[in-house]
Order: sequence, then C-alpha cells, then structure tokens
Amino acid sequence: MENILEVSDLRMTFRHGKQTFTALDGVDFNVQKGKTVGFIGPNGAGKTTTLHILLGFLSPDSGSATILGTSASSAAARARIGYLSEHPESYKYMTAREYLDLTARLFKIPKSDRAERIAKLLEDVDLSAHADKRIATYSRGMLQRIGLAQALINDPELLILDEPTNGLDPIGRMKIRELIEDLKKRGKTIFFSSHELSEIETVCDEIIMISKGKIIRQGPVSELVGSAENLEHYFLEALKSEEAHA
Amino acid sequence: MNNILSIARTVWLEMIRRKDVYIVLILQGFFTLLLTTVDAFGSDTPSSYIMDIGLMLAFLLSIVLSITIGARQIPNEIRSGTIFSILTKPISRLEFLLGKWLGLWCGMVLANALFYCIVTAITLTKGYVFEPAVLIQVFCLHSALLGLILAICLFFTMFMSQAAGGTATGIFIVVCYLFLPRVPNLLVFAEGWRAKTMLFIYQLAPHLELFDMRMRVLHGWGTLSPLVFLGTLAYGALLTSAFLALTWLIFRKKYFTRGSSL
Repeated sequence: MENILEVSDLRMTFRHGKQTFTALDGVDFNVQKGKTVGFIGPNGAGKTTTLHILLGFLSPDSGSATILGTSASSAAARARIGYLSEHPESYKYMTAREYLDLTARLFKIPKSDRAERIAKLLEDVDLSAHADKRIATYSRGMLQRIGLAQALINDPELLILDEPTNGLDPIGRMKIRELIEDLKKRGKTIFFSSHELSEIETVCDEIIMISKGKIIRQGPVSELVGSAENLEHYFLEALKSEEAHA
Repeated sequence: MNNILSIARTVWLEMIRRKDVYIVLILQGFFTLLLTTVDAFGSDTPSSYIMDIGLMLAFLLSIVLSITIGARQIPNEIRSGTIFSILTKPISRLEFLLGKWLGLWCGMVLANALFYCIVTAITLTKGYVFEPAVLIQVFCLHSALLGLILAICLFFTMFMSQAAGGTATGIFIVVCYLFLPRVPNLLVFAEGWRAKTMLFIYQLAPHLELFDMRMRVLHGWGTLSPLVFLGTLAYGALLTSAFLALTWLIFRKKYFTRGSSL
C-alpha cells in the first residue's frame, strides 16, 4: 500500500543557552494511505516537535519528512493536508463563513465552488445555524468544529489532528469522533495525536508510540494491545519496559 | 498575489470591526471642531491655525494608530494560535508578512484620507484658502511615512512582545524624527571616531522629517518639484522594503509555540 507520510531518521535538538535538549533522536515511521494512525506518548516525548516538523514550522537538524513524496515543509505538501491544532483558534472578529472563505482562498479553491463547499462543510460540522455569527461568540466545542471544517476545506489526502477532543465535554467529543469516523469511511488518511488513549483505541487502525524522542512501538492496535486489558495498560507497560531497558 | 490580498483582507476586516480607528477619527474630528470654537488670538481664530493643528493631529494620531495596530498583528497571531492554522495552508511566510503589511498600510492610508477630509472640510468652512496640489503631496508623503512606520513596527515585533515592539517603534520614530535632523549641528563639535560614528548613523537612519511637508501648506510655499517629490517617495519605498526584508529574514526561520509572545 502507498505510503502517504514518510518520516526518516528525524533528529532535533533545542538549545537554551548552554543547555541542550534532544527532542527527537532518530524518529522513523510511515503512514499508509487510508489508515487512521494514533501518535501517542507521554508529555515531552517529542510528539509536538514531530508534528511541527511535518507541518513545516520547524526544520529538523537532520532526517527527512515527506508527504506524498514532497518535502513536508513545501507549499505543495501543505496544499494536500488538513490540520486541526490542539487549540483551534480562529479570527474572532470573523464569522465562520468568512473564516472558511479565507482558508478556501488560500487553497485557491475556485470562486464558483467556494460557497457550495463552505455551506456543505458547515452542515457537516453542524454549524450552519451559526455560520454568520462572529467566532468570538462560539463555545469551545463550536471552535473545535470550525477548526475541523477549515482543516477539511481542501478535501485533504492527509488529515493531521492534534488532540482533537482536548477540553471538550462528552457530547462535543462524541460529535468529533463521529466526524472522524465519517472521514475514515471516506478513505481519508488520518494522523492523530492524542492523550485520550481510549479514543485512539476506538478510532485508530494503527498506533505509533514515542518516548524520549524515539519510536518505541508501532503497529496495528489489535496486534500491539493483544493480551493487555486495553491500550492504556499496554501504553504504561511499554513505558515501564523501556525505562527498565534504559 | 492572491494570498497576499487574502491576508490583507483579514487586516481590513479587523480594522473595520475593532473600535480603534473610529475612536481616533471621532477624537480628531472633535478636537478640530473644538479649535473652531476657541478664540485663540482675541479675534476669530485664523483658519491657518486650525489647519496647522488639524494636520498636526492627523500626523500624530495616524502614527499612534499605525503603531497600535501594527504592533499587535504578529504577536497576537502567535499568542492566540491563529498563525498555526494559516501557515499550514499553502501560503509562504513572505506572502503572510506582505499581506499583513499591505492590509495595514491600505487601511491606514484610508483612515488618513478621512483625517485629511475632516481637517480640510472644517478649515474650508472657516474660509481657508490653499493649493490642493500641495495638500495632495503632503498626503502622499505622509502615506509613505506610514508605510515605513508599519514596516518598522513589524520588524520590532519579530523579536519583541506587542507592548515592547510598539514602544520600541515609538522611541525609534521620535529619535529619528526629532534628533536625527540635529546631528549636523553636533558634528561641528565632534572629531575623530565620534564624528565618523555620528555621520554613519546620520546617513543610515531613516530621515522621517523628509516626509513631513505640512509647512508647505501652511506657509503657501507651493508644490515640491516632481524630482524631489518622487525622490522622497522612492526613498520611503526603499526604506520600507529594507525593513520588510529584514523582518522576513527573521520571520522565515522563526520557530514559535502557541501562547508565546515572541
């Protein structure tokens, strides 16, 4: 199966004065087309640094990250991905429709298609009734949904979600989960970073586990979790085993 | 170009929907109108006096407004996290930066045109006579000055917070505008490396005073020759480009995390 995302030997060290901190220490993984992959790890493991390299915010010290064969930092790669950040902030002085119009323009979506696509997305994320209200008046859940809508405006081949249900109430979580399930059914590739392991277990086909800047486990959820009670137990056991090994 | 205009549109929307510009416009209209009621010289206040104060207010308020709005653009985007959504779209950091500057500049030129309209309308009702071509030149040079100030402001906010960047821009402008023209007088008393350093700074720093041609309206000195006028505009464009280029050099590789204010 075709790899949509290829990460090879990523290394990244941050320097603060005389102190150095190795955030990534030779990270390797691939994500196949059509798969939903959970990217998990404890705080400070290197998840955000990896995501920021994939999104072009950071240049690694060495190694490469390619999306559909082009460098992750290129505009060509960004044209084919959708990204929902952990705190999906939008311009508060805009309405949802205006904000989606801005993102559609940045993707150079033809004017003739723009209005229709925006209306469809607003309907999908259940925001049609609030489309012309200022984003400043939106609740946390609505902000998350408008964030997801902007990530989908270009009908991306790869969707990168960073803690998509962070801070949401159970109903908000359920709505986002339903949207992700729907995207899965449509064959989208989803790269999903979260601390909500139960959610990862429910939604993802595969997991990639990172700790101290290294990939420590990766594979199908069913295979990895295996005899463990659930993903959370497996995750904790894996971390303990790595620490003992170190 | 489409990406630059899309980002510029966000700045215009922000300027329209936030209250700063309206408040400053109302303040300027109020102060200028107030002047018409003041009997400053024991007789009817001369209309040239109203024009003088009105133009000074237009200069001062437009600069304050430029710094206020300019200084919050990039730090606010980073603090709120909106920059993460925008820069993951197929838009380069250069386009983002130019879009911000263009949006700010066009918005400020429009606001400035309104300042001038208010002053002109009020002074005309008081019977003031002036050469429109001179006022147009003053306005064009003033607009070039605002473009330069916005570029300086964006430059400072590359490595400072909104408040610090705004303050640094303000201090830089005051130093360039008030002290730089006096350097030649000081040069007479300096020797050796001191004289060379002062001369170097004098030549390198932006001469903002060149863009302030208000006196030509007030004293009826007539228009600037086309060569001087266009030369000054070109000087402004060159300095603005230089500051934008410096800003981009920092911004293109800048790593920021959400919530940080640079």
